[in-house]
Amino acid sequence: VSNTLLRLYLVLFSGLPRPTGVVVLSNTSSTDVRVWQTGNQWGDTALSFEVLHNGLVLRIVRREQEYTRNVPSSFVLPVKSRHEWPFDLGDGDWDAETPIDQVAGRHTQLVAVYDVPTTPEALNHGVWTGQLRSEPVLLDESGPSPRKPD
Amino acid sequence: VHMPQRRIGNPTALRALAHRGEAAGADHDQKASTEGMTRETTRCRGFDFSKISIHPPNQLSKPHLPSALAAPALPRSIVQPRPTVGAIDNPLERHVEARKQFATVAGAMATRNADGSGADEEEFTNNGTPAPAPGVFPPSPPPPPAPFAPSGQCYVETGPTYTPSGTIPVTNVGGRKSASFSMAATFGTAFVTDPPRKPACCEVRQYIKWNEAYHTWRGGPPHSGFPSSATYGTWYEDRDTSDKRYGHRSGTHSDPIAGCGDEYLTGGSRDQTNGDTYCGSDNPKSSAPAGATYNFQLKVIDTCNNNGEKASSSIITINW
Repeated sequence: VSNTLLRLYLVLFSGLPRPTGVVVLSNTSSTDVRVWQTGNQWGDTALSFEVLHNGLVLRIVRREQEYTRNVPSSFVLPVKSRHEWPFDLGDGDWDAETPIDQVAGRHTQLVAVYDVPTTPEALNHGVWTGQLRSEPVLLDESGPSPRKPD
Repeated sequence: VHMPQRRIGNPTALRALAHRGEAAGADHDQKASTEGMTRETTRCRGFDFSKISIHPPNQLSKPHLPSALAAPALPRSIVQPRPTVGAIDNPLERHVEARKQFATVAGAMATRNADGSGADEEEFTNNGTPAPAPGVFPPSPPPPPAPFAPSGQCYVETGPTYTPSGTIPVTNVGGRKSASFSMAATFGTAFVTDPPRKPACCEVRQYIKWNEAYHTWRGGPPHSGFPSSATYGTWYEDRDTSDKRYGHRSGTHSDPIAGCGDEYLTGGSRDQTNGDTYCGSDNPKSSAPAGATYNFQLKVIDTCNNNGEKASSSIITINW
């Protein structure tokens, strides 16, 4: 499955004090695609964000989690279906290189990144590997209208 | 107040009637209590027993009482004649025929008497040999309520075991600590036992507890998959943040992982429902400081018999 057949969308909810929304992975290919489930080290590290501001790129990654049952769990994303990952960048689960509120302002944009490296586990489980990026979404105080996936 | 009644008629046929009622009652009562039992009863329901009449024709319109005491009342004065083979209009003969069909379609599903003596084997052979002729018997008290008759049992052949055991080595990369171990168990199959040994009745569970140092550092349980009220020094069934747990063959907690991540096998191939081998692995990770610990333990439970514990592993320790 090529990257062009998987699409990543970022939907920001408006009117909230901190960046909150969902990341949508859409399978527009003609075959089912297996992707990592969250709740384990493989799935939790796949999703990250980038804040774009005045030419700067600040990464936001999921804080290192505590794992008790940590196995490479995956699921199948069927043809023409989508999967949503809700997020709240202020819930304490995310770490930024710089506090977002110190850089965010007008024209600041947020990009979702879904990056699955080719690991032995990914190969063994037939999980999709590669990198997807959403289109940038404005992250200013005006609260942009959520961008709906096609 | 229940008044004892004279027992009239073929006791085998009456037990068959009572058993049919018990089976229905047990099915209903046990359905919500045990997943394994649910599976068995569901399987039973896969057969269309509705087409097997167990009531005399003139009682078909009456409500069916799903009780051991709900056998159709026969007039006390009637001595039931020996049924003629093939005379299916005779109510008792119909019951016997129904019971034969029940026994046939139920296959390996074990059935037992109300006292659990397993006397059904005396009443019905595997090929449905009819019961002895009916007769008149002296009064006797009604049979006690029947216990649930398990259709199988879990038999643990080996394990459950951890590899390695004892204290698990921890690797530390920049304060990020991890440990790895595997889990294994095998289960026996036997049809000559009563109830038969079925690997499907065996399920593995992993339990975890953490110590006070960990709880204090974390400010609560390890992650959001556990209830926020979960505390140190107490065993909880292990899970991830999606509430997926080890060893569940089916259901909402089930999350089979190939490659010996968390799966049941038969002959090396995935057999989540009936697999006689359990194979799992875990890779706990933590940023906890020294002094914080995890303990893990495996148990095998019998899902066909109220989730009774059948075997357990030694406890392993991770010193973070």
